Amino acid sequence: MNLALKFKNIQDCNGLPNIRIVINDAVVFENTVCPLITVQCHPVDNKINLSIEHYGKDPSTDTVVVNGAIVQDRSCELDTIEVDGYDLQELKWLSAYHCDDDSVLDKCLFFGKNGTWRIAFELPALKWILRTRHEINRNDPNWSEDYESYVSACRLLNKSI
Amino acid sequence: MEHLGRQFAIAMAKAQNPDADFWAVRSAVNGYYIGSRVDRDPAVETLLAASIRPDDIVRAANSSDQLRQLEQRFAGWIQRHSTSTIVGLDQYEPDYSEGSTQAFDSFYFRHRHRRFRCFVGEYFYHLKTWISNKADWNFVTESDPLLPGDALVLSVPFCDTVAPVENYDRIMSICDAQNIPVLLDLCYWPICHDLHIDLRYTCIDTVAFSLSKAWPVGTARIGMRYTRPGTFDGQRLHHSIGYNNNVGAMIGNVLLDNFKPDWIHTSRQSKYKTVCDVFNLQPTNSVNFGIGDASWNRYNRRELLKSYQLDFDPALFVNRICVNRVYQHWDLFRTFCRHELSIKI
Repeated sequence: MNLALKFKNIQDCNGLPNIRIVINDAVVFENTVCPLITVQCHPVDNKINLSIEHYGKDPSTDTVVVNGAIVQDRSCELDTIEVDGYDLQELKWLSAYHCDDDSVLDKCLFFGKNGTWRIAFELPALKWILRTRHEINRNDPNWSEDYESYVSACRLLNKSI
Repeated sequence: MEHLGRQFAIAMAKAQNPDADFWAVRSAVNGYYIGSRVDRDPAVETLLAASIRPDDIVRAANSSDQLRQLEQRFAGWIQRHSTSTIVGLDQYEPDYSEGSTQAFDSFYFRHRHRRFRCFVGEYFYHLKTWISNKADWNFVTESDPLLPGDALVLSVPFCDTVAPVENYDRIMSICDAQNIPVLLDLCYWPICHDLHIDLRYTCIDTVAFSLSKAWPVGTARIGMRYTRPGTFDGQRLHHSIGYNNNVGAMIGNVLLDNFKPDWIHTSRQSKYKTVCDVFNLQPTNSVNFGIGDASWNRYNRRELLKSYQLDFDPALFVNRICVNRVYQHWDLFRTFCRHELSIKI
């Protein structure tokens, strides 16, 4: 699996955010965040649990508050998630940010507090995207047939899916 | 068996654009099997490129000699079809037409005070033009038959089914008796076989042909119109003063020099049978079309109606499947049949 994560609005405050990317319990990346992180791995299971932990932030030193307003804050935002070349697009919102203080922020791509952002999807990503979109929108009854045809075509033409 | 057609359409789109992702491929294939013009034909394109030099274009743009030549030879050429016959074309006079469409427009204008009529399934351009110009028109039906004061447009073969017009002689006799001018749209003639038509009915006002259905020259707008002696409208005026598309006529002459009017039929008929068998299409009188059953729902007229901005129930029309693209990807089709269906062609 090729994973490409793009981050935006990366804020340095006494250092950049530290993140740890875990796929099905295996740590695949651990470092300070950067705009593009690519990971290659070979998960055994097609069901993928992707988590990104934001750790090591000390609010007393890594956030600057002036007159009650935060003027500087170590943080970042997850922008896009690409799996095997397929952008999950709006499906990235099927995720939640589990803060270390036990609060859960649904549909939150902002890495402010220490905590772990989690999403679950399946491989092949394209098939999961098509099925999930149809389950949500009920507007693509032929997704499965077209997907299988596309896979057949790629196989016939020796092209990657 | 639309699913096989769809599957092969996806393979064609991916082969045509290997870098396209699933969504780009899917978007492209929605337009496959719809329409009627030839998209690409490398052999014809090579021939045209070799036959026409830049000097020829410059010369043709300043002359009308190609027009004269095409107008003089077209009737003889079109009647050299090996399986189809036309009787009575000699009763008409030719003039160049910007595709068959200009002939339609000229007919509409000359008969603008009449009520335009066509049968359900006729070429959408007529409906679009009549509706958008608020012309008086209606489909010919049992409850609303042809009447004096009407003007009829009729495609032969019939555009919807690509089959001979049932009751052609009866319809022409009614039009003769009721003095109803008729435009016969024969633009599918060069892509068809085993058609026979009698043009000697006095009601027939215009006969229109086109070269864009058999050869990939659609935007060159090469058509031929035949009207009765004495017709002198705007289109005929341009004929009389040689003020027409001489470059298009030049391309037309190259095609007539190199191809017979039944070229499509003779070169594709064996392939056509295979395509119809594989996709379970009912054969028509043209190797470019087959009729799909209800399963070909995604290739019914919905998309075409949408592009014409016409509001008719797609179920009024048969699922006419244009298989031109399959011929363009014949090697892939063979591979597809072998790999996916275990059929050796």
